Amino acid sequence: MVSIAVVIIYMLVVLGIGIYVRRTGIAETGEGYLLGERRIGPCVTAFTHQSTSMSGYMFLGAGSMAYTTGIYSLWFGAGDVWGGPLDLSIVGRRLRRFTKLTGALTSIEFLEKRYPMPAVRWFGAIVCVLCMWLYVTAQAVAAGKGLGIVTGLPYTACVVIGLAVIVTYTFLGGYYAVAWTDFLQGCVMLIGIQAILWTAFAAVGGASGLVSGMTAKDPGLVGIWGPGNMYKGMWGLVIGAVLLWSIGYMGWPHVIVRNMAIDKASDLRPAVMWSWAYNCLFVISPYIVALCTIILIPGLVDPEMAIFETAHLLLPAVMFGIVMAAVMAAIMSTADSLLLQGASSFARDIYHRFINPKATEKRLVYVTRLAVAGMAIVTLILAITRPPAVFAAVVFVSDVLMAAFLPVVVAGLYWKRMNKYGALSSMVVGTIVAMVWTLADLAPVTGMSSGLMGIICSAVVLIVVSLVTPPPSREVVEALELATSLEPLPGEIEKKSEKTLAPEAKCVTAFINERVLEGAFAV
Amino acid sequence: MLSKTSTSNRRETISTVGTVEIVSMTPLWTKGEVKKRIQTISKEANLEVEVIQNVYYPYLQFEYQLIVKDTKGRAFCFVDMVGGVEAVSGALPKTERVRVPEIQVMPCKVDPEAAQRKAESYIIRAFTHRRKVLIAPELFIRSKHLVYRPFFILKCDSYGKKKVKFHLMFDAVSGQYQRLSLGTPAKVEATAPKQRVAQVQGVKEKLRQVLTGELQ
Repeated sequence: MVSIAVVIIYMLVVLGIGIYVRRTGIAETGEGYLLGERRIGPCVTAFTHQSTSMSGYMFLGAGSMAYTTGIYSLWFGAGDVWGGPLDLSIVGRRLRRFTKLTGALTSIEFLEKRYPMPAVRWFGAIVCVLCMWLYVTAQAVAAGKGLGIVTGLPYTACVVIGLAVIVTYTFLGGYYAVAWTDFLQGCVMLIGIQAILWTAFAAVGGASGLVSGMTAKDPGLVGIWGPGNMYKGMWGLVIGAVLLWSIGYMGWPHVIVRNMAIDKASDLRPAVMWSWAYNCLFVISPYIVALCTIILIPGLVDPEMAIFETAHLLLPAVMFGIVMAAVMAAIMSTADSLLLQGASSFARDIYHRFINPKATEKRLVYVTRLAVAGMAIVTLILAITRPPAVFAAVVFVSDVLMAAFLPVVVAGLYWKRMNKYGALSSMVVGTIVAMVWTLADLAPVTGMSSGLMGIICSAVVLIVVSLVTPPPSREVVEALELATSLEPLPGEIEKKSEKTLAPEAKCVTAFINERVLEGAFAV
Repeated sequence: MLSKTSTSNRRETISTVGTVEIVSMTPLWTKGEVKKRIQTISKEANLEVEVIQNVYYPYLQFEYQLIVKDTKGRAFCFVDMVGGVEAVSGALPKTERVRVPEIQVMPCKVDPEAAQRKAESYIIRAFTHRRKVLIAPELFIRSKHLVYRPFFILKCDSYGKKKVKFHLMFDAVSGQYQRLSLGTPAKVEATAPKQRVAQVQGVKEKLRQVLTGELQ
């Protein structure tokens, strides 16, 4: 009963945040609903960045992997530590400035502004919406399983409750509500995982007890190549594992959009520090807990339950409630971002761009909200009738998104010669290779993970096609140069500048630049 | 690359172009005060500030009478005639007639009828949102004027720990400022020069008709 009460309180708080944001009116404009009016500070940005990336996978998939493959699973954790800081440092500043300058509100819209071609937007939006939908379904399954353990309710009821809470606050408050609930959820996740980590670690007798216990079960569990050396010499898989969770962040539309919503480009540096601090405390912990579970609860039927079962076994009711809230937080913080990303891509990149370009801002927000609800209903049906395996679905979607978007996002911000033909062909090839590699299960045969293979093919195509086709237009290059040339202002000058003058500043900039070109003004 | 001219050349350019009479909001800040203000915001930045230009930004100012049941009130709304953004105001600013170089006056790009529609829907939205009421007020326009807000364009060089060069626009009425991204022409969404001139001429004519009452 106590643990149920903790989870219920947690859910009421996140709902309260959604209702509060709705009342402030922030989510009533396009930029407000999709990017929280670009008013998110560095700490909240870092937390929403991390909690969005670390989904139910961290408590279910990571636990399952560590439980079945032992120390080998830490390759995945090692990559994850770098993911957030790398994305915020490499992509953050340039993406924030470019999208602000060009008025892009979604990560896919950024692609069309950088590579002006309708097919880039079409293809990007369709891949994004489909991947977000499959990804959010995996999160709904995780939510159903997690909530079922705490409440004892049937799986279907748990999926409905979990999705209803997520949809309500996302529907009401848009990105601003999602970012702040993610912040809260990030805090809860950190407290929950630390509680179970140190308890489990003590229960197995510390590091030496953990290693000796695992060795006694199977010596392969403490090796870097997995049980029975099943992955021995497969450096392609190892590099893929590290890449998947490190540079992969830069290709995930629902993650890079966090860079676009930060208050000021200069806030990205403190955001990187927050991200590092968070990762050092959080990322490896679920893997270690599941390694402890190998000793504490051998022979689990469902390895995805490793962390839940350990918490249930070792912790008092209140702490178990907090761990369960942490699990729900991990799932919900990703699911809300996925729902919003999928819905905004549908509304802005498909509906507004191709179906009804004259739609007003109010209508755009309305359509985005409808898309959130619609996507949730379809997700619910799929999660109940044909639930996918959480780990497999997350890895599949992550690989496809990474192969499709990572090279075009990074090259688009750093390589001026990169053009729209290179972008489109790179996205198409990356998506197909990653999908075929996974569906045909080529990774064990070739020793190359689908994500890594997708990135390599996508990058090669990107370079070759860009070099043999005409360079991008002068306007695109100028916007890119402008986005990358602005240095941050001295601290107080930046802080005290007036944001409400931003629309006028944009027009005055264009006016003066025209006058400069005519030779009438000098700057 | 942008053309570079010396300060004397710039003055010469401005003095030879035509002037135009406009209604400007009365500036509350002088050039000297502006420089001092920016320098005192961040002393450690050791800023050198130069006012390099004046720019006059057009707004269409509307005054409405609001009637909700038996209650009457007044509301003011400004619509930015370049970007089309609207804002409500508690009072009208002081204005004055001034003659300024035409080259410093930004041309209107927003259709005045569209601006009026925006102003009205914005006032209704702001009213119903703030008062938390469902009944929309009846609006009666009492006056509309084209007024210009004076901005100083500042060139700043920081000689502090970090050496940075940047430009700001400083609102000579409110004392607020914002960074400008000058240096590379941001023309991603600009229209061709001829189309732009035609567009501006069209808006000017419509604006004249609206303000003189020829077009209601």
